[in-house]
Amino acid sequence: MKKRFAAAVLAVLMTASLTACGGKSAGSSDAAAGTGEGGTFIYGLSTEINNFDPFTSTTADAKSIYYNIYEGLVKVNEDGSEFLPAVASEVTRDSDSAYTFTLRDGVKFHNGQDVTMEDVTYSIDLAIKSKINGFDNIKDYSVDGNKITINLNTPDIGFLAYMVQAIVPAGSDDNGELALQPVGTGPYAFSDYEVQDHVTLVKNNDYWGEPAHLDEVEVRFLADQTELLTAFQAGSIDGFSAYGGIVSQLEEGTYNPYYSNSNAVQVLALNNAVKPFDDVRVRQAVAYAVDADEVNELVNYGHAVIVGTPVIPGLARYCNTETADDYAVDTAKAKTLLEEAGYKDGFSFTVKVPSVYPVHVDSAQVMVNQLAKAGITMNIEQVDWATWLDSVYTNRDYEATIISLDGATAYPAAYLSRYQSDAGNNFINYKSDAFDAKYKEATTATDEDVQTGLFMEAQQILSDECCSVFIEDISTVRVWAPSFEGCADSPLYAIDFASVSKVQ
Amino acid sequence: MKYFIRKFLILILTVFLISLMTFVAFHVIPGDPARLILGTSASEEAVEALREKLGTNMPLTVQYRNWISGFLRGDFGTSIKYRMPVASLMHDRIPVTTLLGVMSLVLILLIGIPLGIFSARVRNTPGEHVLNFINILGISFPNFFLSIIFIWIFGLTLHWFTPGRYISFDRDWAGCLRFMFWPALSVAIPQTAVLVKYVRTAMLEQLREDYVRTARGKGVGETAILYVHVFKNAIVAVVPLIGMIIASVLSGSIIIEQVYGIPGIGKLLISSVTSRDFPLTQTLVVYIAVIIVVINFLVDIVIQIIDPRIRLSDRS
Repeated sequence: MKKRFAAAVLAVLMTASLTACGGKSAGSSDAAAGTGEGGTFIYGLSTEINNFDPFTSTTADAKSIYYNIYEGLVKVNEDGSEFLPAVASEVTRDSDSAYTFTLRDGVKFHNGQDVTMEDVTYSIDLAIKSKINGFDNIKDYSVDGNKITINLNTPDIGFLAYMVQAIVPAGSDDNGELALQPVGTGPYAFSDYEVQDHVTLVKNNDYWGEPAHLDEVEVRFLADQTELLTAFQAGSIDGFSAYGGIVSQLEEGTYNPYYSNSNAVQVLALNNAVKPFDDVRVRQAVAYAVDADEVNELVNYGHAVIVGTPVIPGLARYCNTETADDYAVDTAKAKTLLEEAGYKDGFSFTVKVPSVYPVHVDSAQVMVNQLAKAGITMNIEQVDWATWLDSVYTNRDYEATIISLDGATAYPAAYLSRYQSDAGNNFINYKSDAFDAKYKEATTATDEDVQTGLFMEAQQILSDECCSVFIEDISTVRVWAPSFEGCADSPLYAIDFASVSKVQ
Repeated sequence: MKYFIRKFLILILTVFLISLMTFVAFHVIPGDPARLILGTSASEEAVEALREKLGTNMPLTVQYRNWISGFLRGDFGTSIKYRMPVASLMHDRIPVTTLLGVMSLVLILLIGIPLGIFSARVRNTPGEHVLNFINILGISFPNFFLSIIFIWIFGLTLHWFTPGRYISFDRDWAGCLRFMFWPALSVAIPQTAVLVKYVRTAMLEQLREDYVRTARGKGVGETAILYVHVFKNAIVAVVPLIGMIIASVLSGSIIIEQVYGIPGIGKLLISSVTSRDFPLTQTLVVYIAVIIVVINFLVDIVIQIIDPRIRLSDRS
């Protein structure tokens, strides 16, 4: 608890150095000689990134790459417990609704210019204009020399989480130029981009913090997980992130695995507004019928982390881990609940699964059998991603779906806000006065410990009312060629290339 | 002259109808490009702001009208996904797909025609059965499946090429050709098998004609009969098929480009549809339609040159 603000909120913060390396599994690299410096790392990605504008391109995959190019005033540490100063060298919380940031000396943009206060205000204005989450709460700000004070409309002790938003040069995005010519302050600078082929990042030698090890990172765009696997086996890429069981097709010892959370929670989302999911007993019956452990075993080879809440386990401070056991598999109980709800003979429904994500499709197939045991028939309908976003996510025209939900920031509100009754992105149509009240209380609390407790209670409400069936953080394996090592953890959906180095 | 005018009008009409069908398809399928760009974590306000910036908040009818009026002035619009002019995206991709198409075509003709003649020659021998068997295998193998097998055998096992690593022609032309040989072969094999079958049938038909008996009676050798007399007549029947093959390889082998990771027209088309990039999809579809119509038109002319007895005006 104390950690996060002991560092961030209370005055002067040490010149933070990035912990360079140290995935869970191996590769604790060090800055000392002996670790490989230089080299090119080719990373394969099954999504094409074509827009590097941090204000308008906010998909999880785009962020995971441009995380290396841009930095905000602060950045989150590996386990999400605190926010470290980045472009700002110092952060103070003046009151419940005012923060002062001191600009770090000598931070340079990739174009060689020094970062000035003008750049900071430009970036903040742009974030407000682009309706970036959290920025709507900014009432005004005032600049005094190299300090900027931001005043909020309503108190928010989680405000720092939003300040990871990129700082860019003033005027650099007046016409959306950053989309194809990104300029930031991060450990890697953008070098070149070829449509449908690759993007190249080069080491930023002027980086204020600990510099990256590799000279160059090339991100290659490939079609899907199968193509990534083939390309890896053929040696045309040095690494990729594997989901599901694909890694089992690689021979042991031919790669360095770094297991990490995906920082998104896979959920069997039930549309609370349609029959029969408007009945809490039916939702609970589904939850009891689904065996998350079996999904984990069969789809994720046991590497996933079982959860019972939308808050990712990566945010250890806020994730209510007790909810994971609330609906341990119990087919008899599921049947009883169905009988009480008037579905003695079971019922049938359709789950719309986005076909671009094999993990969700595989999970659906496993769940079909589990639900059948309780007399529930689940039909799978695969839809393409654009259709999913439009008909399921935006228009809420569905009965059930399986998806992984990530958060825009390393703060529980990013994961919980959608469950408010009137939230625009509450696509499961969950309505609960109890949750709404608790959530509001939590987000406006001004004491950290109290706030954490309230977030825990809010999650318990979601679990008790069984708004949907939360399964697991599906986990990802970063598969590196044996000649590369290191991959830092992050509570964000990001790949920290600065922590990767060549094996000597 | 009348013929050319009619053909030209048909071209315009076809292209217009096809673009209209694309428009209707976009109207029917769900999907919002702005939401696709921003992802699930963006607020509805942010999506609306981007829609306005991209112009996708306008009714599709208006977008279509804008695209058409731009198209007529030679401006193909700006890609919603890539935020680049459609023309420059296509400009980079057409050579890639054309190279793949030409390489496939060379393979198809180089293997297909001699093999077709040969298989006509070996009729009624055990060789015929062997060839027929191989041919049926070639026709029935889907080309994406062939690609996977090639990648596995020649890429991963024998290391003759590196799957997933497309080499651009400008960077290393020899490496490019070495890489492109495999996708070209994957495109070529099923098409070659069809061509062999056609050439063989056409040859056998011609062999039954009276002029062949006359030639034999004059003492012309079997080889000369086949290659000089029969082939010349048989090819007329095969030209329309060759035209279809050219049109199909030049308009992009969508699946092959996807499997081998070749940044060509086909891959761009898939990406434009999945991202609901209206101006880009429209232009690509029209490009493909124009190629097909124009090549069919050229086929008509070629046939007329080969066999002047066929009057262009008779064919419609």
